[in-house]
Amino acid sequence: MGAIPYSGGWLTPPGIDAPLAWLLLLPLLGALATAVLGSLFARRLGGRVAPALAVVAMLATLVAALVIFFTDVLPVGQRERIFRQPLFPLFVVGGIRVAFGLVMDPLSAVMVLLVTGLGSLIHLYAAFYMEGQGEEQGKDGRPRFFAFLNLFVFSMLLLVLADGFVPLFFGWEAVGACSYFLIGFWYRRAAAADAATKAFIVNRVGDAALLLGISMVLWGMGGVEMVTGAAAGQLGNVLTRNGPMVETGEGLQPSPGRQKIPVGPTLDFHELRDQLRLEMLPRAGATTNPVTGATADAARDVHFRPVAYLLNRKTLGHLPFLFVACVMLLLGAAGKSAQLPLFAWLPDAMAGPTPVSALIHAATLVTAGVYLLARLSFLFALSPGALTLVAVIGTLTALVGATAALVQNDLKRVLAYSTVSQLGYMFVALGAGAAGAGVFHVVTHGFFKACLFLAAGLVVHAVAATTAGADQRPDLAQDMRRMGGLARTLPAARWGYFAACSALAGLPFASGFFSKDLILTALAACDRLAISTPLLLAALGVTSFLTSLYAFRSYYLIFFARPQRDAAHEAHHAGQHGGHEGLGQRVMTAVVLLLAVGAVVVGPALGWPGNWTANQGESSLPRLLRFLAPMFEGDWPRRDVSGTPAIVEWGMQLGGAVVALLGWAVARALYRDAEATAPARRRLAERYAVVQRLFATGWQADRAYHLLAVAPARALAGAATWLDRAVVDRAVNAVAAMGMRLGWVAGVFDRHVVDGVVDGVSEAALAAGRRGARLQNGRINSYVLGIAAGIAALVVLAYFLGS
Amino acid sequence: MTPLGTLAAAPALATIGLGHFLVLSAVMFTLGLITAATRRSAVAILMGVELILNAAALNFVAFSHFSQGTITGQVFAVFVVVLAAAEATVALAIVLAVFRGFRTVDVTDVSTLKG
Repeated sequence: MGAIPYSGGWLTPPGIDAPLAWLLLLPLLGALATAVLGSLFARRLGGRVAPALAVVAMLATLVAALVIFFTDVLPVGQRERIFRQPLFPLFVVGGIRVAFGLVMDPLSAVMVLLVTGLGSLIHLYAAFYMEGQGEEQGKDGRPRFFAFLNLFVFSMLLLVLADGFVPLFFGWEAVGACSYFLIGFWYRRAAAADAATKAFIVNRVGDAALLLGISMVLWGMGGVEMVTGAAAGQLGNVLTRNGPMVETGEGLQPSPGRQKIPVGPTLDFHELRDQLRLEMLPRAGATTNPVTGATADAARDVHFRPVAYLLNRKTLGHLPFLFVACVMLLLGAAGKSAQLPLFAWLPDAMAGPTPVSALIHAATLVTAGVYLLARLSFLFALSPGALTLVAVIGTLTALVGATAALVQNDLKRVLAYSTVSQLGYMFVALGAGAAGAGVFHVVTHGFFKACLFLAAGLVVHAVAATTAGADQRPDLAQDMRRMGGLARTLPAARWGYFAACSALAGLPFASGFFSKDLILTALAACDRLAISTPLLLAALGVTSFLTSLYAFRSYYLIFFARPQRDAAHEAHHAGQHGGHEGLGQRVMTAVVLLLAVGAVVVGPALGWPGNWTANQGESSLPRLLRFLAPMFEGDWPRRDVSGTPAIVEWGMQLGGAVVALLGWAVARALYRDAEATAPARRRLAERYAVVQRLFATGWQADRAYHLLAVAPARALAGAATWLDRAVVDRAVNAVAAMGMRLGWVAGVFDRHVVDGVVDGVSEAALAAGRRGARLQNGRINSYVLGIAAGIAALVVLAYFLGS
Repeated sequence: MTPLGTLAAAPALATIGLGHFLVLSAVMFTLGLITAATRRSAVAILMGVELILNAAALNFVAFSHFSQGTITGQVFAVFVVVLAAAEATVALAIVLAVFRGFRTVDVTDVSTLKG
């Protein structure tokens, strides 16, 4: 077992041990075992079999991921950390061979560790959280729940380990299906069933776009081979280039040794990336572009990329082909990652159990879109228009999500809109070409959002235990207006929530601070966007303030603001006599605290800013970005290798810190003693009721969907109905009427002609019979006479006929 | 040559020839037929039938006499007589049975089997 450096070869035969496959098999087997054994042995061994199996499977996956990471990925040289594991061929269409393969490279390694790490903690939490929660009509739903939870992790791992678009799409769809099952876990509640359907349908829109985008990439790469192969005078559709870029004393230089790069349509990420980044070095002395024939500036021509050039030159109608393809891929990612315009499903997805929300928001599903764009950053880098669109969508989503989170009263909806907003930040990073910063934010966000959700789960459990009717109305227990003063009764949840809130708000030295700062710095340094970056920066600055404000608003409303009802006392009561035994409560609290530590520590550990260290050059990059660097560097021709000016980074850090602290201060002033500020807030709310309503409804996203999609669909359905009634039905009726007329005519004919003939025949037979019967008069004399006459007639006949 | 031709060719007042027998036979047959066809009494009809049978037997005998070497006709005449006797026996039995059933032998009244 060892890392196989990517050689551009097709389907190396799988070894006896396929460690990457184990990463998929373990959660898959876990899901099967949970579903089958969990249900079979539930009666004999109790309902805890299913959670136990699921947690064990998940922990095994985590161990496998760690072992692979530390034995196969980390020790390998930084630029050879591409560990491919082809599993089996799927199909061959024309010249395109599609295989099912996995790849572990720095990007998927980060995602795998995130998914398995957070997944394990969330599984552990859920095992106790779901005690007594999974009952539907007396049937324990926990085997179903934990099987889908494991399957969810399996799908996400498949998605991030996929080496090409096809396995990725499998994972993509499986993640969508699992989210549907889990959001709709309480399927007898109409709200949950509706939310699941909504998530599924909105995701379908994105998935359709993704499929189109994948097809367009494949289509666009067709035809590349001939031109390049012939023009470049190379063998077949294989170009050779000098070896991979290696780090020397003077920056990146091509290493000696030729390497074959297959050129042409492919669905494999690394093959696609290699050929798009294929750089052709001019022959000694020649400054002529081998494809265009143009004489070019020799210095620029060094980095001429024929395949990318050809792909970039294509158009579709009046639009650049690549731009359209990237927009399609972006739409797919936006659907999964809840970005404008496809974000409204995520707040509704809160209808699922809280651990599911944590899993969806922190580790799986919504990060899939960010991952896809990071994975394809080499493709987006070729289309500045698409990058601009990504950045703009990200900024708008961040702003919309933050404003919506500000006015929600439902605790989980605050967190949901917060996720939407934070995903917007990640998209901004991707749009600014800083995919590494985006992935970094995925990691930090994963920790603090998981912590927020799980702490919220503790709170909701405690409140639900004291709220009458919470079984039927789960939203009652999530209403922040009914909480308050819980700091004393739930200290662990309170401190966990506080740590995660500071990370979310980007308070200095909490993890969100580092990742957001990196994103903003990258945006400030980005000069490729077709929109003014200061504008985007300003919007994101406002968003940062709002983020801090809504995060601490929820914190103070839950834990401090004086209860409007006697919630504190009741919750205190519940804390002592709640539905959980001591062990479960302790484990869940421990998980929350662990995540809280992660929420604070992960940022500085992986992303200590470069301007805070004395290092120079690449080693000054934050650790995670250095690890990810081979995945993203050189995605576009290096024109300027100069890094971000340190002053920009310092400015962003200072600005971010100030804005975050300001938000905290405002939230503390407004909500710490909610009763005292209530009149002022009420006046404010009355004056800006329209704005509040706009924010609370997520900028009327549902109404927009209704106007743009649902209403036209209904109108179309109505028109179709009218068409059906007025035209189709009428035609059918006319045909039917004609048939009836025809039938009447046929009936008349039948009665009079056919029946007449039949009756006539029988009448004739009867008449003949009656006539004939008269001969049989019963008188022997006449018979004798008849005989004699007959004989006489025969004789006469014989006389005339004979002789 | 037809029998009538033979008859016509016979010399006048010569010995009684075949033609005489045939004429007699034909007259007897006709009388018998008329009797059978017109009488309403079953017994009378039987008598008519006897006449017909005897006319036929006379023909057999006559042809046998005027042809050489065979006695087939005479044998048939004997057959006819036997047949007639048998017929009369059966027929009279039937008539008797009819009389018992209907108290009449008038064939026009015995029409139960009429369709």
